[in-house]
Amino acid sequence: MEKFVTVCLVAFFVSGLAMVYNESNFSALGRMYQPPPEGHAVGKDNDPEHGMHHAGENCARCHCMGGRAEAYAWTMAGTLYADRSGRSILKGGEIILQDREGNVISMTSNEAGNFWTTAPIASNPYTVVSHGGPPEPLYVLDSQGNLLQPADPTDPRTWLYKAWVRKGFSVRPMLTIAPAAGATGMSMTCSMHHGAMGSRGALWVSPAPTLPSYPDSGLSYRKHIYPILRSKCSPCHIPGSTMTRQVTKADIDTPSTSFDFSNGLDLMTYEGSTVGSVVKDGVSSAVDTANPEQSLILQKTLPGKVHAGGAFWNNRAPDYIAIQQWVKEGALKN
Amino acid sequence: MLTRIVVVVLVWLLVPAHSLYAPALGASNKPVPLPVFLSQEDLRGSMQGQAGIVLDLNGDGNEDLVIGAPYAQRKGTTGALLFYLSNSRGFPARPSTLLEGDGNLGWSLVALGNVDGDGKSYFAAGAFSGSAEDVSLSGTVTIFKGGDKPWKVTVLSGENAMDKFGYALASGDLNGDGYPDLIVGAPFHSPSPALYQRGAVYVYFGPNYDAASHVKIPATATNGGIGFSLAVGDINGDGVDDLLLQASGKVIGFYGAKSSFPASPTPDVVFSSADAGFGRSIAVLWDLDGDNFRDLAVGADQATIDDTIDSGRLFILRGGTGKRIVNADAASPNLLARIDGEPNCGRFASAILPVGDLDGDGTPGLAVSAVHGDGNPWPMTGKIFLFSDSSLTQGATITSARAIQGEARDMHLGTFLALVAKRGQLAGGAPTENANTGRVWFFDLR
Repeated sequence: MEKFVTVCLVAFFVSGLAMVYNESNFSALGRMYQPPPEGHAVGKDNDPEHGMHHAGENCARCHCMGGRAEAYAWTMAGTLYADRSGRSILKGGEIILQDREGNVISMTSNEAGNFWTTAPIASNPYTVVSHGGPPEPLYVLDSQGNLLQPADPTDPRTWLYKAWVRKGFSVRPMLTIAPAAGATGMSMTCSMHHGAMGSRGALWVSPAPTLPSYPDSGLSYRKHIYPILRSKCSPCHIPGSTMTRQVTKADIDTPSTSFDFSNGLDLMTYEGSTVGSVVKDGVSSAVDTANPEQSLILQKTLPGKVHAGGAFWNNRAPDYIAIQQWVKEGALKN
Repeated sequence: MLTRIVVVVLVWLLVPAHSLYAPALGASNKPVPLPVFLSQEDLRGSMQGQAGIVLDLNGDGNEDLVIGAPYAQRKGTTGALLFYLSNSRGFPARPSTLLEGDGNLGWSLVALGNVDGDGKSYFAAGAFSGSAEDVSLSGTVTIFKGGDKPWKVTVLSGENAMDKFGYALASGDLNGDGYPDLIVGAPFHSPSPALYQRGAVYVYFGPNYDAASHVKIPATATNGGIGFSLAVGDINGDGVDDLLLQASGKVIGFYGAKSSFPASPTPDVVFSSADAGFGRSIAVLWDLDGDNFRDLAVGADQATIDDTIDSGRLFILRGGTGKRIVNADAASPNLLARIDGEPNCGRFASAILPVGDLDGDGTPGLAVSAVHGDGNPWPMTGKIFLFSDSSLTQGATITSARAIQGEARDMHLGTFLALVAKRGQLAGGAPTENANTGRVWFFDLR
């Protein structure tokens, strides 16, 4: 029976990976496992300007209609780093956006880590905004539920996209379907939340290990393992509520397409956490000391595995080997 | 002989006069860049000028300069400190010493003073992603003792990876024992799962700065978002310094005490405002209103002015004693002045520094930076405003200040401010000038 369930689950996920992505499944759940689009010219949507300034800041504060740099109004911009802590910027990384109409936008980061584009992002006529309160539709329906007035296509809050960052074989997807101008109407770009000192950590991608080196044995949770987990597993696997934002009509219809992107797992705590009514398992529940390689924290993030947060390493990568060794040594909170 | 003459002439031609000494600049306020030791290519992207302090490093009575370059990339490490030991003619053309570090060393700096009495000042340098013996990427703060070549006294570290321990630093005597204490902000520390990334502040007591006997002020449900901005000074007139720190939408204060610090886990004083970024900068001033209490300045660098976001506002608030809750948005005797920034997204009040007598009236003045303020000829270069004591009164406006405009594109002039008191100069960091290579500028205050 267990095998049957596993086979069914694998079949479900594989079918998900092979599915056609169109506007019918343009929601966080519908795009949960979508691989990055391929076949486009990398950096094809880079804007030709200089762009070395204000790295890590919210570009759209000025580069928007009505902003101080409205002559260079961008639809998306930001700064890419080599690590979540923002220790160093990353040159030559690719930032990929895909909107509900299937348009692919590709940018590359420059010497300052900056990227930006004026490529249009398709508007979703059924956009809703939610920011701590109940979702508010930006469209109007008649009494029969027919669309009377679509969301304003010039409103950047209706420009919705799925995103990925890529450098070499390392690819990191953005889990949510994001609005280009957030939910509050304030212009923003990736750096608004993903600046080097942002609450969600820097926008980053890199195949490099978290720490320069690890010992062959005697691994420490605090010194070696927690830095990996906090670098690569947050901001998804954190304490408290981690429900995806509601951004389309589909998200407020039944059944909801909003989901908990931590999947009930808090990898910032060893034992797990309880914040209000949100109870999550911790690191200790994601390790298998009897079969270290089967530990969830190792298995989920290998290439080819089903993980909405992408693949972080292969089984020869230093981070992988360090966690594997720590689990072999008992996965202690040492 | 001819060869010597040719060499001398070539040197004279090739080395710009301003790269030899920090000059007295005169009334024109023409800024002069501080030259750097490494080539511009070596320091490209280093953001030198993110932090800077002025202190007597080697006990010779002259003020020296330490500059942080937190993104300097050298031999696989990230971060560096540049030391400029001055002589009677001013700062040298090149750093006297360059100290390479890691973990973004040089993001923050604070002078601790003459801790052991030999005249050589101590100072601390923050590396927000530094690693220590038993913890990685937590952030570290290294305490140095000054000298011709500064040497490391001790390294303090955060509790967990990515706490960004050392993001902000301050110093002052919080327990009244005569030794400066070190205060460290870790804004991404998580005191508990419910307070994930809400921050903490740590106090290490001089002269030993023993990690084992520090005091931790963690974020609470009511006071989160701490560790980004700190200040120290005696605002309640008891002769012991007090600690002020930014919390979300507030500045909270803990009074220093000779017995123990803090006397209570509950803040003694709370200043609040609805302005965005309130508390981004904090400075304890002098007694502006003659009530025998030192007053304080608080910046809200993201305040909206005339419907323009990120323009910034400066609050001058009254010091006092006892438990206090002050709404800085309401007119009251506690609000001595409120000065709006220019409505141009300039982020006025990004940094604040009390300086000397600006107008010859025998009273101090105040330097206030707007790191995105409009310069000449470029917009958003950064700008520094100099207020005299008499211009910090109710009804004051920014037009009463003397303004220094940045001259290079996108330089973030005024990211740090430091006073070169003996030379009557103000140092201002411009860490993003020239594609994040960075630079430090000097301005004559006299």
